[in-house]
Amino acid sequence: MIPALSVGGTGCITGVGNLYPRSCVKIYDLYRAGELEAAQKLQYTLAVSELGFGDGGINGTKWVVGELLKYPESSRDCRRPYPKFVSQEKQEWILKQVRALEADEASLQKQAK
Amino acid sequence: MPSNESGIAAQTVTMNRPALGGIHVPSLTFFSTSSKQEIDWDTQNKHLRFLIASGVHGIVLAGTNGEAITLSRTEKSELVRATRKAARDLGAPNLPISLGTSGTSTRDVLDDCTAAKEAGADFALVLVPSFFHFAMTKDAICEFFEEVADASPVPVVIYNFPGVAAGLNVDSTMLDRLAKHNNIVGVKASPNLYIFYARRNTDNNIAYVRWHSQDHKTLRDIFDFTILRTRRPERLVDPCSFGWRHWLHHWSR
Repeated sequence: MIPALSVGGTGCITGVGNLYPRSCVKIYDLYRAGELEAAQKLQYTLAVSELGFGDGGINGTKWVVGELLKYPESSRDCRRPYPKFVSQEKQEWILKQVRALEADEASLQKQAK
Repeated sequence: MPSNESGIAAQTVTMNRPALGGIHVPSLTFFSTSSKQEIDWDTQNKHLRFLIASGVHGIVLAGTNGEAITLSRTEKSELVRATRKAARDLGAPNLPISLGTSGTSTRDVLDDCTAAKEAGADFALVLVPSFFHFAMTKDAICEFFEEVADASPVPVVIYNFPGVAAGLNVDSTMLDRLAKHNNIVGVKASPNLYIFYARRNTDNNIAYVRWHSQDHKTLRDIFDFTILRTRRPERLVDPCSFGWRHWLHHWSR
């Protein structure tokens, strides 16, 4: 997002926002406030998390969002014929990958309260 | 504000239309495990409220993450209404809402645009119909968007995603043409559009840019090109530092 903002972008849409919306907003706010170093630092962390969403697919994204936001297990599948996200190995991988941003998000949520 | 310094009037577009700036989340759509996999409204509403309460600047419904192609028009309208209701309840009644279209004919896409308006959405995110991809020349694609924009009751955001549109791409010269239409307000685009992005930067034009390339090298090459042409090269940072596959960017005129 930051490189895009730097050439005139005014925002972005990201699937990462389904799980870590506050971190996405924070990067945007930091950039707009001119705090580039802090924005970039958070962006690096987000990129690690994003790989989970990107490579996990829509079924993986739904699974991990459901798992971490505690949505019912029965509501995490895509409409057929999109394959179910059932491999335990993949589930463990995506959890580990996306959680790179978990501490930042939790801290932002705490600040908001 | 940095984006202004690089030549863009970032938030000045709001005269007659809601703002497209900031972070917009393409919401997931949750389904039950019943044989018809109906929308699980309990979870859906919970999720929409979670997103809105987190302070995001907009919600996109029936995008790729929202499994647009599997949703009926009625369901899409219901999703818009549920989102608007949640936004009102949470004190953000004017939250920008975009609705994806997934029709394979101009007529069907326009019905989606009308449904978006009636349900209370602010923008239609329009994908190129690709069933007849062999007939969709650059001119045909441009004419499609112009015809949709002529008749759509909500502003059109071009959704350029060749990966789900039989490879059909809306390239920078086509965007030069489409950007002139008053009812086309943005484009989600693939990496090569960064060239266009930087070029149009100086014209204060609008674009949505979305990456779907998986090729870092190409992205870097594009950025090298971009850096040469931006007014504020010192503001550019390492393109590898961001989640490039899921960002959708836009600028305002």
